[in-house]
Amino acid sequence: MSALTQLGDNLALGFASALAPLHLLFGVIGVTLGTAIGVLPGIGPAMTISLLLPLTFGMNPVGAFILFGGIYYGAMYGGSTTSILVRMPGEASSVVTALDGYAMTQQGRGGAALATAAIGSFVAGTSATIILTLMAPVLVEVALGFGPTEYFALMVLALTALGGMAGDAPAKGAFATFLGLAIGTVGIDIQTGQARFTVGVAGLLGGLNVVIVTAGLFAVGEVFWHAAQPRTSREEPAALAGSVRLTGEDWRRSLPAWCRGTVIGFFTGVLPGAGATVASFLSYAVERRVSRTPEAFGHGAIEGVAGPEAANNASAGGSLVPLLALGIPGSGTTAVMLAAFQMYGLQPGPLLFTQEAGLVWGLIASLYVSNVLLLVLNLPLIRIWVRMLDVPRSLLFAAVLVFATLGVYSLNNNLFEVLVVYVLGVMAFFMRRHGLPLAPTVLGVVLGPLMEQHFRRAMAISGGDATVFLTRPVSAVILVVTVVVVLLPLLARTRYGRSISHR
Amino acid sequence: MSPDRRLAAVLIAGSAAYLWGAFHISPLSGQYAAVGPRIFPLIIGAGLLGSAVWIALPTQSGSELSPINWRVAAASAVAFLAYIGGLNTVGYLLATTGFIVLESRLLGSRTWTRDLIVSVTITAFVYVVFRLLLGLRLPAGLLG
Repeated sequence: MSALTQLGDNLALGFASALAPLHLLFGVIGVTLGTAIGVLPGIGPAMTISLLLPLTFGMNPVGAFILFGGIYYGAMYGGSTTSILVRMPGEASSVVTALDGYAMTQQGRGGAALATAAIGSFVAGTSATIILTLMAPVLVEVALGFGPTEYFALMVLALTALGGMAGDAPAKGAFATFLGLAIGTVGIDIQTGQARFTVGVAGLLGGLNVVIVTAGLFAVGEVFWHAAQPRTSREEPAALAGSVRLTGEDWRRSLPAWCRGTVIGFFTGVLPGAGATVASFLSYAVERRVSRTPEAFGHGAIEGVAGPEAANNASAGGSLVPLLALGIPGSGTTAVMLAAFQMYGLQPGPLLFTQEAGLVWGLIASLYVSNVLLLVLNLPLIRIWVRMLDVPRSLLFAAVLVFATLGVYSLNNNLFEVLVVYVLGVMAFFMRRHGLPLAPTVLGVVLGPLMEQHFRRAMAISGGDATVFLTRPVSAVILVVTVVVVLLPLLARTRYGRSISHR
Repeated sequence: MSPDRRLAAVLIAGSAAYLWGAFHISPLSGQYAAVGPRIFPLIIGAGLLGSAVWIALPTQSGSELSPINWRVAAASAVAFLAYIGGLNTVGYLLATTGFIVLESRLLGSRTWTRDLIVSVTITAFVYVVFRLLLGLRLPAGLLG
């Protein structure tokens, strides 16, 4: 019982903070900005938060995290709008929504598709936040017993899972992960004061700031990539026929899809590596399987919109569980959020819940508020969101370069760091060209230095005995899970290949 | 040579350079530490080299490269470099206004007046947010 009353106290504290006028304003700015960037293809939450990191440096952390949380949730809402109306997904996590969403628009049922996406997002986002509220403190209790050995093992798991899932080949995911870890070793070793990989450049002694790395890889790299794409024309938004309302039949079909989407999305989000895009595809596959009319999918089945849109929102909530409770992100966006915590000198994890209870619970409470704000903002303003597509992309991307440059410059008033961003942007361009995923690299940069410290601490405690990672039970289990994560896709692939050749 | 092979050749060279650098870190460790500053980079170097070789393996399905507009990509990169240089010489206001007009033209915009108006607006907006609201410094140059 006392655990529940304490949870109540914490939530009350959090809501008092999240509903304070200034924080509420940050919440409104966050969800508005988040929806806008969700609508715009090519600009996602990871890029936006990394562009805002330098600007929020001087702000109080609670306000900044309420802003980031709003952007993260808002982007999940906004991604669906253009998927449904113009078959132009604003985010990768809404690609699958376009299949049935756009078909519904062509049949004049676009309004119903938008409504089931928005209400489903609200239901899933709120349910996921409730599970997050209940689950995080439990995980914190467990994690209190973790030492450097366990944290090292957890980071190995997170990096392996993300590296294995991202990109078009596991070999490329693996290289991208090690590349991030390698970038993280540049600079002075904090234990011995020795300079590593600085190649005689004084500006590299302090290491490559994660803010610089995320701005270079996510923002500048994205613009260079966009610049290099052959021009394509886009389809005009279809006239929004039909009211933005659900009929009784729509409700009956949407509700179970939302619930399944929520469960699938949340747990996919908690797992490292998978994330919102995998969650939405998984949910679509499940909906088609349980449907009595699977042949309707792709031709405007409302479940094909309701399930995936619920799933991608729930996964955002799920992905915050390991970030907040363990300090271990499993995706690009949460890696940037960990970078934000590090910028403030904070380390998420069990201690954050006791030392910075106001911050943690303020952020969690603001997620409930954001969901309500999004539902209120989203549907009535739908025509304005679609008009966002009229913003000329050329000016938008030029502005992104300006923001990235000035944000990084403002950190230390140092143009050398801007040049580093430029080099990383060019590197990101070639990585994308050759199918090397960027998210594992960013996660490697963010986790690498922590991982090395945990590794060296664990080895110091064990007196240099590397078997400690296998003799401590929790770390052994985590490492066994890591091996399973590596082997499972390979096994699935060979079995799949065999079943095809048998046919 | 397939694109993936060419990629792997570059990555193997880079990984070898990193590994070479890792070997040249002095292995001294702190008084209580069992592991010095060299072990972790060595592990990473081995991982880099291993996965680069893995990419080169013939069992990997080679991916096709999508068409690229090299002219625009290169021009954008040069324009951005010029912008960074311009910040240092002519300063924030001029460099930013000019860069946004130039870069949006490179990215396919064909309306000079609109671009100029938007460019001045963005420049002024960023100036207000950075300098006046957040109190951050912008590169001054000629026009402060």
